[in-house]
Amino acid sequence: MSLHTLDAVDAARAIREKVLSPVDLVEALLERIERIDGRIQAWALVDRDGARRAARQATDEAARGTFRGPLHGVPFGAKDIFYSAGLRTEAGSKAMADFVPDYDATSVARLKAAGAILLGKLHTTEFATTDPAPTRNPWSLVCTPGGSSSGSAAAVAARMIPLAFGTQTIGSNVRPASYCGLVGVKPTFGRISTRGVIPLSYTQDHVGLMARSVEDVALALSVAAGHDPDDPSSSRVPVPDYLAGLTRRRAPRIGLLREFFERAGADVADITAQAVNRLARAGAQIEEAKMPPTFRAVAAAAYVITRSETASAHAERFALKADLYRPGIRSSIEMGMVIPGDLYVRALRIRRQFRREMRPLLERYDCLLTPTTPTPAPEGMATGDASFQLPWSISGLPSITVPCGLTTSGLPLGIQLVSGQFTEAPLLAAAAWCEDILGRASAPSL
Amino acid sequence: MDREGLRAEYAACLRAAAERRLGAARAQELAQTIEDCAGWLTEVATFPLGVDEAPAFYLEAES
Repeated sequence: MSLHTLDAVDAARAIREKVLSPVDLVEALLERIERIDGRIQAWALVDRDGARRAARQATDEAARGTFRGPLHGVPFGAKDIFYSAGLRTEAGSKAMADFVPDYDATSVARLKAAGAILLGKLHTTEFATTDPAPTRNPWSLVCTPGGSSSGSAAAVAARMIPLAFGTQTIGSNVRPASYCGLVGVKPTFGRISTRGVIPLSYTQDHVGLMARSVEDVALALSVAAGHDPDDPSSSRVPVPDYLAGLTRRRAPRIGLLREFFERAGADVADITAQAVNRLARAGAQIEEAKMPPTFRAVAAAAYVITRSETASAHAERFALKADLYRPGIRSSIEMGMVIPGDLYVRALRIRRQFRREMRPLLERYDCLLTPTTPTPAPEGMATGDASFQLPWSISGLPSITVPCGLTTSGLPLGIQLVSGQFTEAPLLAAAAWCEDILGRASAPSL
Repeated sequence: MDREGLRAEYAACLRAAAERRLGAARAQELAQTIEDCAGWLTEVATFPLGVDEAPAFYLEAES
């Protein structure tokens, strides 16, 4: 097996069993990046020297029987809005050119403390909004990988890295993961610290993870999650061992959200319906479920909340460097500057009403199911439709995408599962069960 | 005021605020964005909301 195809859990196990050296793994990935990233353009910065140094240290420690944690020697990447001490962090923006933070984002620091090796920074749309990154989809270079976590999704799919951090304010982690045939999780709001992640919307920014299996995101989430006293939105809810929780997988009770199927394109609706039939034949209890009345207003509320908070988050930098901002983020900030305050607060009230109305639905089922996206990855630079992620971002509920098949043109599709807040453990178990039935996505041919 | 009247009023308010904060030329460039935003504001303003529904700022992390 080529080392660059190893998933995170398998690599961690092989390193612990001393049949794989972190140095060899890092070199295989650097060689892979050298060979194919010219076409994909996933990486904003590859820290060759730093990764090699960390790999040598991890290899020496492993030889002595010392393991820092469950990701000892496993490389990962981070979207270029995550602070990384001593490494340029530019958020895809000229307004951030040559910015070098002096500390790691808490999430990056946690993975490093567990032994993981930061291989570099991954392209993002500008400030995680809509102005596109240069990255292409490994399944079809004419298509977007989605955004805003464009480089994260493309790099994991192209076997340049087994694991990457993305973020999601509206649809930026789960959607690109699905467009690229990956598993992507957006946990509950507050589950992973956002300290050291350049903010877009304080009350809707989530750190997410992408990998090629549910096991991998479960392992990484166990490490990355947890209270951070330096993040005012960080939760104190205890973090279970999500990977161990996968042993409790069983056929779930699923609420099928028909509204999303009706909004999906014909190919997406057909392939997702076939996947649902396979889950039902394998024992899942599936019923149709209906979204509550406030669903109608969540897109408007999300628009108002994100624009208002983006304007606040960018106020000082924008006052000095407005001309360096690209058109999408610039107009978002400008609209946020003029939205009336009473309507921002009303949008927050709509959000709370929506969360309250969702609760009975979430209590009735282990998870809710939708197609992950209305279409496969579109051609061109625009990063696609985030509307199927938006309700779970505005409400802070955990969601995950699992691959469910390919279109006739060979583009991956996924199913999206959603559950109640801080129920990541049963959500991941349900996702792993679905993955067992539907199979993992194959690799794109590059 | 009917929904279309409210939308027009929000568009006018946004346009005036944009002219004041961003200048008339930039406000003109944002004309379509302002119209779109007015539509979102109208939806937020008119959606039936429980009078006791307080805002969720940090989404009650249940800590």
